[in-house]
Amino acid sequence: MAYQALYREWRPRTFGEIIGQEHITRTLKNAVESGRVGHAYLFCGTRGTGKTTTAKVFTKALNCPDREGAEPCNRCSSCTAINEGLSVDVIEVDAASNRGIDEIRDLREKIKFAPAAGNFRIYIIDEVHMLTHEAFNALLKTLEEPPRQAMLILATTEPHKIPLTILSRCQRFDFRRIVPSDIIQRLKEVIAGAKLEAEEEALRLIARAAEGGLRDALSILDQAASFGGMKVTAGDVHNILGTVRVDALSRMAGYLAAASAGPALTLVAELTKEGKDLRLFAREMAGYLRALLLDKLAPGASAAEVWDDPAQMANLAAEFSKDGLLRVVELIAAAEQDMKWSTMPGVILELALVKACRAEVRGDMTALYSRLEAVEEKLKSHTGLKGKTMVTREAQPGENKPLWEKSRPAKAPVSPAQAAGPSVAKNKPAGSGVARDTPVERPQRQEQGIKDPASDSAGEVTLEQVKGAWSEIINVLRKERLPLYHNYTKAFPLTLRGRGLVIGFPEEEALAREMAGRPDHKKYLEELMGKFFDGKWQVAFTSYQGRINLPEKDRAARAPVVDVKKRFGGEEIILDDDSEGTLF
Amino acid sequence: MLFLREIVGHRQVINILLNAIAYGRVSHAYLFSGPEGVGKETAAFAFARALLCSRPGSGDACGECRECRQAENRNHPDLQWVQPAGASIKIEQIRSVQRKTAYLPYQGNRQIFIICQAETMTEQAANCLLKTLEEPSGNTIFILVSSRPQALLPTILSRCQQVSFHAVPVSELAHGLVSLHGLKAEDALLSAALSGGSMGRALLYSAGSFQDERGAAYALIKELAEAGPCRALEMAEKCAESREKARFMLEMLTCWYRDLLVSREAGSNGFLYNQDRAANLERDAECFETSRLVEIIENIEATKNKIEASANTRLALEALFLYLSGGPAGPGQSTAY
Repeated sequence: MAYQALYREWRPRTFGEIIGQEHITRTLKNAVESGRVGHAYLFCGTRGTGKTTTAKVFTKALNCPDREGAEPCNRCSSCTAINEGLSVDVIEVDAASNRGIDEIRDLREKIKFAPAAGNFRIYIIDEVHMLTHEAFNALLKTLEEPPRQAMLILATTEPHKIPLTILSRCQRFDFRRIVPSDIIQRLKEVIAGAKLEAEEEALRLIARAAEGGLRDALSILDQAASFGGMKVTAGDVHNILGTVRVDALSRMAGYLAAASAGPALTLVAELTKEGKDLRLFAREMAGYLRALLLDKLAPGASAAEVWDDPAQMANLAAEFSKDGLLRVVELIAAAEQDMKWSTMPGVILELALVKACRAEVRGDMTALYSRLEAVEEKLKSHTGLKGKTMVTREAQPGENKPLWEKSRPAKAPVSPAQAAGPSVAKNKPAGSGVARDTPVERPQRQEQGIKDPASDSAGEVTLEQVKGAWSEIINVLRKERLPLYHNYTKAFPLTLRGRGLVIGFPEEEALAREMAGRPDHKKYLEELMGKFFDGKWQVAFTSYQGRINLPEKDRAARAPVVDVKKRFGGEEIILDDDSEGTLF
Repeated sequence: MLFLREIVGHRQVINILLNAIAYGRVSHAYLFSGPEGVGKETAAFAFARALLCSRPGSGDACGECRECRQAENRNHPDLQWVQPAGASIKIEQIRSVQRKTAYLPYQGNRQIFIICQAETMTEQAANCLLKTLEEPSGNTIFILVSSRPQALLPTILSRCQQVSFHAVPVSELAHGLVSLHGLKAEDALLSAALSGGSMGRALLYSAGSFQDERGAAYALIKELAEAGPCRALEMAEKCAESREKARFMLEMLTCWYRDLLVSREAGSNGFLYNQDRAANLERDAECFETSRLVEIIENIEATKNKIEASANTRLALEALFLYLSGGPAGPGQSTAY
């Protein structure tokens, strides 16, 4: 007989040989022994976990006249016929090739016949997820109440594609991925039977690469046996899989921990030279780093076992910081994804390694956050030293007089921006030195334009009072002259002398200042001030530099927001750049 | 038509195949996977010929018997090719393969199906193949060839012996170019380095006007570094004339900036793509920040992907060129860094 692949030759023939699925084989064995067999089963699970095999063993057991306990004998005519695929009572249907309604109708016709030899007439419908919608529905009635001696076994890797009406009519069995130790055990059995030799290390590698599929494991073993001439070594397996030895992985992890990009890139070049698949390397690397991460989070966990040197892994894990390790895992995993579709996978990997080594080279926001935090920290200590030049978050009346009032009387040539520390000043273009001086001078010039009206005052009004009433004033303004209001969204009373008020606009809002300064607009505001505080008012406008946080608008203005929040839920988002007014 | 023993690189893979024939351990399903142009199909063809040969010597074909000559001229009745019909391999094609597997081979004792670009199988086609691929009747051998095995169903993968072809090391590739295609040694080395280990691409590079185009690409990089926005836009327009040209340009750009990054981080020690310009690279590398280089390469890759996804070539190039123009601290560099 011609050569058969190991996974065909060594397909289990009894329940006992099926490994890693005790929860299923035990149930089925008991069913066979007690005679309480259902009429419809669904076997699902990932590839190579034994769905079709179990189905075949189960049918053999059901039809075998002299079974031993629950196990089929594999000698009688029924068993051999099923093993060779010649039985007339067990029909294996390839649902992916015969997926239409006509094939299912045909099945419905033939399922009525009594079994020729055994007790049951069994249909194994493999890859059942590929049946068409109509075909599934045509199957429903048969599946629910098949003829007395008929039985259906559905097998699939993708149970989520199967209609619920089908699922609810079947006894469902979920096949698990097979754990590495079980795979190794089965490989050893096969090796003994097929007269091969293999290193322990090689088996471990195969088990890891198979990712829970026994068929994958046997395919790799088969290939390794061809490669090495019946003797399987770890080196052969590495060659076949294109994977690298663990020491390359641990070396790379060491470079990443030490953040040395140069050696890391050199290592990649070496691997390329050896003809290794870099994408596989990235995948292995991600797996290795993940194991490190697990070791870090839960020391002594079993994650390191498959990678065979727990002590070294623990050492490596200690060299990383938790966040650093997490970041590296993310980077490498992302690179592995990108490499799948790139024409130059090597470049992608190299890029990821450089990024992993250089904490500052990060395209994402986290880098920005950490920079920001650093700046804030610096700012705090800086202002802490100087003490008085603290920029208040909210211009609170009363305590801690705001900055612009302090700097002005002293005639200090320090603008708020300068006092705010290096972070703000750095963002200004270098040539802004001239512009910086103007706001200090300009108010003085304009203040001279205001005649001192203290003589005809009806009563003393303080700046604090004006500030307190400011939001109300603006509200009236909004109701009466909406177009003008938009110019005032960032305006704020700066100084007060008698009935002469200086209103400040941010430097970049020159246009708003100009609009507000038009004679008719100015006159309107002066009258408005008169309505709030008795007397004849004069108003002047100026620019200020830096940032003043306006006091929160009063509740009345925010009532709609509260209302919306109440009706729809959710959070209010305050725009950081105070651009509320310009949104409209 | 090559013999298995003549194939450049892939020693291990070829050994697996030769041994399989020699020991009589030929599996019924193989998947040849690896980057484009490394020689998967060549190997599949050579393997099929060796399998069909009536007098194989140590696993390889003899090249003289009737079977070998028939296979070489592609009219061996037991060697069937399945190619995508249009964009994909359809379920009808797979069904016809299934029908054929039911028959005995015409001449020899084996029947071979080579399925090219297997990843283009539609979902229905792939599922349809599953049962046949697992246990084909008679003496049928499937050879699936794919440059993107990750796009295949895991159930297909697990049924095949996966033979993975890797990029051919530069030295071997250069050697092969010299001995098989009669190139000059230094040309061969350069094409091999730039090809990323793919024989197909190396041949493309060593043919015709490649050197001129490469020179043009580097002239462009240099000019771009000093160009203003207007000039950059003009250059983008010129490059966008054909999609092929743009793609080639972008690949050269990636190579260049990757080399800059490598020589900045690891010094120029022998694994640069543009080995012949190592001095230039080293000088230029001084001018760039690592972060800027990373950004640039990411940007070029993103542009390439956009063009692959059929974005407007000219617009994509314009955006990239504007970003690149103005040298190491171009307008793309944020002031925060």
